[in-house]
Amino acid sequence: MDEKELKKLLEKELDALTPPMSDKVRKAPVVKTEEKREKSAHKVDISPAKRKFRPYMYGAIAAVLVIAIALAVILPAVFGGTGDTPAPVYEAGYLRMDINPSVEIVYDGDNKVTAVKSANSDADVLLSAELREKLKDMPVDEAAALIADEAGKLGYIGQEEQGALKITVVAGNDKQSDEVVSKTTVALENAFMERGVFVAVLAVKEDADWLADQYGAAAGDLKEAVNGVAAKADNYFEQLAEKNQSSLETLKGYYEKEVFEYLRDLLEAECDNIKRTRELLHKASDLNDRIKEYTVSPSAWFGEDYWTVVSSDEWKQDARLAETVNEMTAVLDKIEEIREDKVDNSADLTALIVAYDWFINEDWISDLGNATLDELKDKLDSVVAALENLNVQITSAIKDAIAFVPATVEDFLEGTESVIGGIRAELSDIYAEYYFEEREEYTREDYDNFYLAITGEYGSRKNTGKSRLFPRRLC
Amino acid sequence: MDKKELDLCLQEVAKGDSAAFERLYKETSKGIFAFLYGYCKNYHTAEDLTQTVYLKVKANISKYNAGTDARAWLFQIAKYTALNEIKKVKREVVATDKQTEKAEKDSYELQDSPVFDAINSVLDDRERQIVIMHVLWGFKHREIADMLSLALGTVLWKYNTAIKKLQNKLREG
Repeated sequence: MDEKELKKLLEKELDALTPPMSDKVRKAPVVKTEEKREKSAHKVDISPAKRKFRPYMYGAIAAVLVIAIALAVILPAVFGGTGDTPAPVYEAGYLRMDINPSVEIVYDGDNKVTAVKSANSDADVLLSAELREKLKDMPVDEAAALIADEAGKLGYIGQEEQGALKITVVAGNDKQSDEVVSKTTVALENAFMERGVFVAVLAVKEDADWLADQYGAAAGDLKEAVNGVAAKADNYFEQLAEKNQSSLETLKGYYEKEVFEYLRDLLEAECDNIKRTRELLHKASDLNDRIKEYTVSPSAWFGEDYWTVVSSDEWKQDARLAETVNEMTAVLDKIEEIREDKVDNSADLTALIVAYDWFINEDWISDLGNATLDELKDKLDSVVAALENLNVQITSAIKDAIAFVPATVEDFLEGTESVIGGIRAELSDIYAEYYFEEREEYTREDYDNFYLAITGEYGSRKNTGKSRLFPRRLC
Repeated sequence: MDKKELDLCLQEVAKGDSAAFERLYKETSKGIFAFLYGYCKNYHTAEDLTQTVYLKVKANISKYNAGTDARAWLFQIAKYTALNEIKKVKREVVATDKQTEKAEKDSYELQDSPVFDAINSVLDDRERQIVIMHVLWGFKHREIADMLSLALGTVLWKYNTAIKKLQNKLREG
C-alpha cells in the first residue's frame, strides 16, 4: 500500500469516526469583538514555544522496553599446579543492551569497556563520538548506566509511566558473568530509581555459541567473536555510511523532493508575478499610447462632435485624459505592488514589454512544472539570471534553498555525522529536560513491588503484550 | 480546502457566517479529531475535545489574522486543548481496572479502522503527529519542522520510518 492509498483509506475511516458538530457548538455565538484575554494555556501563538516534553499517555499505560544484556565470557585457561582449583581468570567479554537503542560493548579482563558498537540506527544517534570516548575504560556496569541515561536524554527511555525489560546474558566464566550481571542490573536499577522512572531489568542467559554464530566465529570461539565486535566498532563511520546508505538515500530523496517543491513553488510564484506584471505592462503601454495620441491629436479621441478643446493647454484639464492618466497610475501602482523594484514611469515601456514577453515565451512556468530535480537545478541558474535581468529580486529563500540541495548521495553522506548529530541535538532538546526533571523518589520496596507486578506476568514479549497491564498497541 | 480557501473561510466565520462555519467543520474536523485522539487515546474524550476546539474557534475568531496560515492557527488551538486535557487528567486518580476496561472498549471501536488504529498503535507520539499533520492537515515537512521545532531531516526521517511501520503493520493484517 503506498502513501496515496494510505491517505485515502485514512480519510475514509475518519469520515466514519469523526463526530458530527454538536448542537452546542452550532449554537455558540461567534465572538466578533476583541476581548481582553486572560493569561492562560490557550494562547494561540505560532511562534515556537519553550519546549517542555510531557508524556502523552496517561492512565494504565506502560511502554515495553527491552534491555537484553548478553554476556559472553571466555573461559580462561586454567593455570598449572596441583591441589586447590585456582580462581578463574577474567578474560575479555561481551555485553549487549537492547533498550532500543541496541548497543554492544566489549570489555577486558578488568571488566572495563574497550569498544562500543552500535547495533541499530537508533544507537547511531545515541552513540556520539563524545559518548564513545567517555565509555572507554569505564567499568561495564557504570557504562551501561550511562548509556541508559543518555538514552533517556534522547527520549528512548522514561517517556512512559512504566517499563518492562529483558536482559539476555551469555555466560562463560560463571563468576565473571554473575558479577557483571549483578553489578550491571543494580547500576541500571539505581539509575532508573534515581530518575524516578519505573523500568524493570530482567536477565536471560545465552551460551557462547550464540555470539560466535552472529560474528562468524568458530563455534564456541568467543575470543574471535569478541574481536569481531571490536573490529567493527573501530571503523564506525565507514559502517555508518554503508549501513545507512539506503536510509540516507531515501532521506535525501525526500529532502530533495521537499526542496524541489519548495524551489518550484517559489519560482512559479515569481513567474506568476512576471505574467501579471507583463499583462499590466501591456495595459500600461496601451494607456500610454492613448495618452500620447490624445496629446498629439485630441480630435482623434473625441471627433468633431465632441471637440471641446479651445487651446493647446485646455486638453490637460480634460476629464477623459485625467481618467486615462489615473488608470495608468493605478496600473503602474499595481506593478509596483508585485515587484520590489520601482518601474520608472518614464521608462521605455516597449523595451520592458519586449523583455517580459521574451520571458513568457520561453515558457519557464510549464518547464518548471514538468522538470525533474536535475533539470530544475540545470535551469535554476538561467531562470535566476533571467529574473534578475527583469529586475525581479530573487528572494534569499531561493538562494538558501539552492545552497542546501546535495548534488549526489555522496555529497549527502559527507554530512552523515552532521545529519545524525542534528537528530541527536533535536531529540535532546525535546526530551532531556523532562527526563532529568525532579520526580518524587520511590523506595526500593516500591521498585520491588513494581518489579514483581511486571515479571509476574512476563514470560515473553508476546505474553507481555497480552497482559492487561500493557495495551495491545505497545506490543 | 487549501490554505487560501481555509483563510477565506475563517474570515467569513469571523463575520458570523454560519454556513462558512459548517464548511470549516466539515473540512477540518477529521484532522482535529485524529490529532486529539493521538493525545488522549479515548474515543469519547477525543469527541468532546473536538467540540471544545470548535467552541474555541468561535470564541477566538476575532484574533485570527486574515492572510496568515489558517491551518497553523487551528492546529495551535487543537494542541493547547489537548495539552490542557492532559494536565487535567494527570491530576486524576491513576487508571483503575474499570478505566482499563473502558480503554479496551475504546480500542474495540477502532477495529473497523485499521489504518487509524495502526497509526495510534505502532507509531510513537512524534511519528503520529508528523503523519497526521502531513497526511490529514496537508502541512509540508518543512512547515511541520518549523511548527514542532525540529530539524527538517528529523521530520523526514521520522515520516519515512512511520510510513514503513504502517505498511508493515497493515501487511500483517
